[in-house]
Amino acid sequence: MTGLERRYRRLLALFPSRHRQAYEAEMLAALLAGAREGQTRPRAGEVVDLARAALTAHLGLIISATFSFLVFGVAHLPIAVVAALLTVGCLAVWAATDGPVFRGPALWPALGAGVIGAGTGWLPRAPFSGTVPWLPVGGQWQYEAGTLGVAVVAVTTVLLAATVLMLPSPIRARVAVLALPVVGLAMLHNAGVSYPSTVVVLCLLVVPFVGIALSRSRRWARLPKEPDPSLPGAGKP
Amino acid sequence: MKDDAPLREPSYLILTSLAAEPRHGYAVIEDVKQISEGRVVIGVGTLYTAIDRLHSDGLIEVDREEVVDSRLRRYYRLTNDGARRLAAETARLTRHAAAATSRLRVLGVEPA
Repeated sequence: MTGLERRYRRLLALFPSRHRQAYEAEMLAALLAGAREGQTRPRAGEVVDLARAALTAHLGLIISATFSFLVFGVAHLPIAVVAALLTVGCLAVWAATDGPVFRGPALWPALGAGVIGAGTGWLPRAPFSGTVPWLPVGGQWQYEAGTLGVAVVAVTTVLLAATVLMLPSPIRARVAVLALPVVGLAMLHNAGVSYPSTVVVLCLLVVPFVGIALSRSRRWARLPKEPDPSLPGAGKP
Repeated sequence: MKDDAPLREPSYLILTSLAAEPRHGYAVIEDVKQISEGRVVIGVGTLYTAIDRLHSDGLIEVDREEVVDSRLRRYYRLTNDGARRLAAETARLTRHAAAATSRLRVLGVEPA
């Protein structure tokens, strides 16, 4: 690999991965074909052009993902992703609140979303999925189910949103942060960037358990220590 | 993309280049330079931004791939939709050019 090629590759690394996968090889070929004899560095115009194109690609990705999520999110969100969102969301609530919040008003929408999500997303897919038999990440049945499928996803999504909105504000913020990876995943999927792989879904499911572990370790750290009887004044009220 | 939305100049020239024959990226850049008499030089970044958009809009498609000197050459060709779009855009530009020409003649100016 020449120095020029290495420098072109560094510039091409500015592009989003989807763009690189599709075009990097042929872009590199075109850049090298257009290089002058003895050229060792990219020309200034090429650097500007590539940087601008990379920025455009990133912005386009963000805009299309956001637009798709806002406008088509309900219709295009696979029920399996909703079910994963539900699972992660419930676990995130548990992690962030250590349970008592489910005795509040957020219990009912969470329960409703749980029943619908499990009944339509997890349960039918889990035993029959050919690709990932133990994770229903391939669930696309709502596309074929038409209005009924969209309605199921819409109701589940609304219930999930209601669950989060009914939480007390400091807990809501913590849960929102924990839910960001799943929302990001759904946006990427809607933008057609990738389908959630088993590894990604597993990572997302692991996040709440890490949250639980962290919240418990923090709680234990805050517990008052037993007074040392050898110290003066120990045992006095 | 809406059918009546004007094409940007790079996209128009890329479609024009591919109307002649399937071409790979660098060949498109060289052909556009020739069509525009050196006035338009499309950078590789701009070219592939346009190719990505034209491809997703169904105006061009991959014709074939070749490996030359260990480098990938992907050839693109115009689709039927692309040809229709290029024809519509050309008709629009021709109308505008005709209107400009007739009004310039009134002023006694002949387009070069």
